[in-house]
Amino acid sequence: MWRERDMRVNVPMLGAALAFAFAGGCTPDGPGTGIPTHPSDTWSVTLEWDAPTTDAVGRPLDDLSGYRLYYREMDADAGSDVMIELGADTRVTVAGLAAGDYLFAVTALDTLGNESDLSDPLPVQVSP
Amino acid sequence: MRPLRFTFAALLILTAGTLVQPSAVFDPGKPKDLTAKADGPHAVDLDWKNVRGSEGYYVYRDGSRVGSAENSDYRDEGLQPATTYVYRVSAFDDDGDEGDQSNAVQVTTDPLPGPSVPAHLVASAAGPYRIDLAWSPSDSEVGVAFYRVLRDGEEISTTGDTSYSDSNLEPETEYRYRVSAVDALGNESDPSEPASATTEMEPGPPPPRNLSAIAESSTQINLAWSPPGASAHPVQGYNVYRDGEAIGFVVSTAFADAGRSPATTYRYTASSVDTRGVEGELSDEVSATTDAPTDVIPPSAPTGLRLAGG
Repeated sequence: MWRERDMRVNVPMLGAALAFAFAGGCTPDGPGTGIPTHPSDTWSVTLEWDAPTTDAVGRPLDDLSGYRLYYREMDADAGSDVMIELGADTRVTVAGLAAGDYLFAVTALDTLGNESDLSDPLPVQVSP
Repeated sequence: MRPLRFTFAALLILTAGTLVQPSAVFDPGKPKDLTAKADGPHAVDLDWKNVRGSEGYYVYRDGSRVGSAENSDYRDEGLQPATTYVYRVSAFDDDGDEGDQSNAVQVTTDPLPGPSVPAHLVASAAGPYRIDLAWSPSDSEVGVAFYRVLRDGEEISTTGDTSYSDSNLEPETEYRYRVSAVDALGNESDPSEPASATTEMEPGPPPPRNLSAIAESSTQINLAWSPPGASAHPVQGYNVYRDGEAIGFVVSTAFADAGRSPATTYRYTASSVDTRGVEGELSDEVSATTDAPTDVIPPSAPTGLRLAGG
């Protein structure tokens, strides 16, 4: 799903994203409330986005049914994308992530299964 | 008569040298050059050379006196057709003395004419299998016994009427007719002028029944129908028409009309085609409207993807 063009465009933003991540976007998995009580191997990332209000040609959107989240490690092949089917919530927590640099993006789906373009990708550094 | 002639000779001798009026004394001479000619089936015209001094003539037919004539001709009427008669004539003078009979002539009356040729023969097609004929009656002295109907030179029937219906014909075929008349004596006229007619085209099968059109999607309408009832020839398939234009021939009783525009109304009819390839009448028209267009436009992409604020 990734297009090289998108990656190139967004790589310069990585620094800002990393800063955002440290501001509290990443949390360690396992028991506890935000601050790990012991070293953990995996982490969670919680993302949110704004729902589209129109279709691709600008008409009011009245049949939005859900989203798909795509992500992969930044230095991985395009074919290694992970896709997660989501409901209509505009917020999701992805758990079980190993430390590393990731790219995330979402698409919107209507009730007929038409899928939007990818959102602007979001680079995220997952680390302790 | 012989005695008269004898008297004439005696008088000639006895009155020798005395002028005697011959007409008063001698019998009329014998008419010469009698000729007879039949004039039709019922009359004979006689003619002979005038006999000087005669007052008139007697006419004998077959030995019997049948009339007299003032001049040297006679018309004998009321005769039988095609019959031979023998005529003689004799002259008589104003004393009523009759001379010798002429030579005998034999004459045969004409036979009765056959019936006249039937006129105004008209042939007209009455559907795909029949042609009707009609004509004017023939004249005949003895009466027309029947008419003989000829089709393409062959006798097909006789009838006492002046019309005839020729049936069990082939469709779309030209036939040529003549009619002759036969009288009570068996005399037949010449055939009439010919008249031709061409049988009509055989009708096609009835239209299919219960044609229905139902929208299957935004781009397809499904048609279905039932076979027609009985027809002269088996139905081998159906022509389907959309908005007046033929769009297909099918042997089944259903048709899927794909490639239509969404939300559009189409009108359909269908006809049956029999095994000869003859198409029948169109069915009643039905219409259907394709479904509204399917949404193929995706949503806009989500925006503002971000890490959730803790």
